[in-house]
Amino acid sequence: MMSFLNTLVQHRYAITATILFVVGLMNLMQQRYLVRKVIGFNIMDAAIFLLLASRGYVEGRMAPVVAEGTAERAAELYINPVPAGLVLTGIVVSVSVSAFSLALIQKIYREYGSSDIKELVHLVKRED
Amino acid sequence: MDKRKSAKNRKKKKTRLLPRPAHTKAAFVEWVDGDRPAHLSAALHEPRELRKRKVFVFDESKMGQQLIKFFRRYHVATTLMCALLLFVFAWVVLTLPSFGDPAAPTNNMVPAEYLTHGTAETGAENVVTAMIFTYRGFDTLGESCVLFLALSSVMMLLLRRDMSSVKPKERIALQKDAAKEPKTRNFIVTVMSRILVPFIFLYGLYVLLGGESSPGGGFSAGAIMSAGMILYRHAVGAEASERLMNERLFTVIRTVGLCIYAVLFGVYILLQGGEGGALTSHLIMPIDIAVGMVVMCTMYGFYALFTKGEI
Repeated sequence: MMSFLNTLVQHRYAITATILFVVGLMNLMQQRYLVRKVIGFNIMDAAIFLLLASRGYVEGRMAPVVAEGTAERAAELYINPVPAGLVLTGIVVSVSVSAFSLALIQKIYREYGSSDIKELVHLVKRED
Repeated sequence: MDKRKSAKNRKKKKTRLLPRPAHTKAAFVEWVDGDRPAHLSAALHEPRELRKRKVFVFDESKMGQQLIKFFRRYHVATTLMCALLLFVFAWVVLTLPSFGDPAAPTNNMVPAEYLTHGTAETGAENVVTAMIFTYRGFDTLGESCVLFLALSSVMMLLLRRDMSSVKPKERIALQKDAAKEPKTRNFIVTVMSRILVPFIFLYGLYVLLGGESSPGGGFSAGAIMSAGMILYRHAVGAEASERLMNERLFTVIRTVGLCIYAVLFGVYILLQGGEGGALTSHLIMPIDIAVGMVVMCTMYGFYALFTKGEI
């Protein structure tokens, strides 16, 4: 039992990210209103960023801004910079996707007068 | 008429969700009570009617019943799926190396290489900046293109140059929205933005130009500067913010930013074969600035398009 708790504490960020991801996914799939679905999608993004950023950390090391004269020992002094770059890419894509989907939702709302998925399904089915 | 008005007032008193309209007896009483000076009540936004939302319910028809059944099943299925996923993910995550483990396989020779030789090869002390603009430069170019394309597609969806291109149904909705827009500018926001916007821009420039040697860079600086521009536009209104940014300038900045990036990165790749890298070490800063331009325009453009449908 103690060892399991210890494992949980060691993986605290990853576990948080997992829970956040599933919460976001639930929101994405089960919310009625489209804007809330986008919010769920953003929660999923945040979970992925948290996981990636926590992967880059190394115990006791500094942020990767190399001070003068430390370049030779840099690999032992600074944390891993690669996940930071990945998170940056992810944030940009997440912003773009959110903006695009919100624009589509605005268009849908103006066209059908609703952003309720149930009402939209009903309207579309009736049009067929 | 009078009766209805008083009924409305009573309702408002009960809920107190919205500020009372200015220049009424109630506002005076509030001023006497010390809640808010009368000359400031004009600075508050006019109260907006709360939107009444009818929750849609499926009707009694055959199709409606089918859809009710479908959504019930859908909810059960997705809940089960999410529970399953939670278990699978948690299981996978617990097998990863623990947080902050120096021996984790992610800390292999790639980050070691970037950290040891990055500063000498690119001339930037901030290894993240050095990495994303040089070693992973194509990736970042793609990111800038994603931002550019996202803005372009949002413009395609929401930009209205004139009302003739808008469908009649949509036009009514837009006119309703315009009627609901507050006529007065919020006093506090206007005054505070006058103080804050220059400093926000200064800080954005600092982050942009310090991106080589300290945490920062084009993306964060672009976001900060666009926040300043958004605050300015929100404070002075869409017409007055033409002074800062009009549509032509907007198009020029975001296109030129992307082109500068592409050209400079091409130059960088071609010069990489040369020795020393004396020239290439000065290329990160211009690339950074180009990215900052693209990001700034994109964020500001999103705000402008979503609020008013024009730049």
